[in-house]
Amino acid sequence: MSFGLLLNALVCFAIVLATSAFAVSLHHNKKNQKIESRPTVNALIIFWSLVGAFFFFSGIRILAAYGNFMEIAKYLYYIGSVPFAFITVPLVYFIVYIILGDTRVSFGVSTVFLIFGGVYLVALFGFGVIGPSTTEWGSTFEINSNIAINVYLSGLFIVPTSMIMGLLLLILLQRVPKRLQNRIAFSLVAISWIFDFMLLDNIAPSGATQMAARIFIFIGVVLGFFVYFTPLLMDRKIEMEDRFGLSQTELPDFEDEDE
Amino acid sequence: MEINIQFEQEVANFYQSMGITAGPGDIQYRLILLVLARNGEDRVTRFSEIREYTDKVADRGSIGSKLKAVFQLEGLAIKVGHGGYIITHKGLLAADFIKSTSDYYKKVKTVEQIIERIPA
Repeated sequence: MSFGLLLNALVCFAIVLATSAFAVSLHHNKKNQKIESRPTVNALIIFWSLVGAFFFFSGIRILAAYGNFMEIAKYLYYIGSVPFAFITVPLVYFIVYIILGDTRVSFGVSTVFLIFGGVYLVALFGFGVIGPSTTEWGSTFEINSNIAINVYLSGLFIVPTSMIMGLLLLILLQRVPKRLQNRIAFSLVAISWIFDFMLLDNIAPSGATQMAARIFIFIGVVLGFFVYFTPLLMDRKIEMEDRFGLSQTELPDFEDEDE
Repeated sequence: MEINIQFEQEVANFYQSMGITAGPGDIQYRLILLVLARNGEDRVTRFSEIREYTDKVADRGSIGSKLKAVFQLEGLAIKVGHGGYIITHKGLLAADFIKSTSDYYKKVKTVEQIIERIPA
């Protein structure tokens, strides 16, 4: 088997490491958050943990494919499908709670997506998967059920992605402090980015597509992390730009002016 | 039309915090105009009716002088008999503007609440 598969597994574990660091940092930072935003922080922690769990099993699955343990790879695919199916639940809770601020409504709407996830899993386990088909760069499975694919596309991806886009538009059209607007926009873009590439990852027709999707997911996780935990130096620079409306390096030169 | 004194006070404070002390930022102006607009152009509004709302935020004298110095002088309301006022067309326009300032306040508050719920 090829080096590409090992690289694929490595990217998966890098994603696991990044998402775990993100979830742990969010957890430690929770006490600094306002009470109103605590439910959304919890939803984000669950979301990133589920992304990490999915890629943890995917990484092991790729290693199993590398070692030619195809039956184990198949079981690992099924196990990995569980966090994958419920990834929309905290995400929907996050969006609905931000917009409405009602925990009961958010809980109700996310329960609908919990049912969607359940239906997807029932269809997936019921009809099974075809594969694995292992290539130089990855190991893919084909979902053997149109119901599962339809539920997955419509319920688990199109609706939540539209919700993210709606929230993004809502924030961008409002008069919000620029720094905050950037932070919110980038964090939503990172979530949407990861979400869409996870879709591609799961229905990837080839190992190379899967590998490319995973690299983009890793970039998305890193982007999401830096949105919330900006390095101190960059943070100060942005703060300066915010305060003066321009970068310190762009300040006009007064050398030639008379004292 | 229900007039919520507490809400109107909140809205007035919001505009005052932006340096707008007259008009939308003046609680007396808001309440007088809303009471007059509620009764419309066809009904006389008694001074006592206005005081039902304004007594909680201002004394009788300042409401009387506000009615005279602002509402009557600017043609927002006309005095009818003893202690009665009728809103004019111009006054109704001013009332519409005051209602739109309430809507703007609600919009700003909604966005503020949304932002507060987003983890910082």
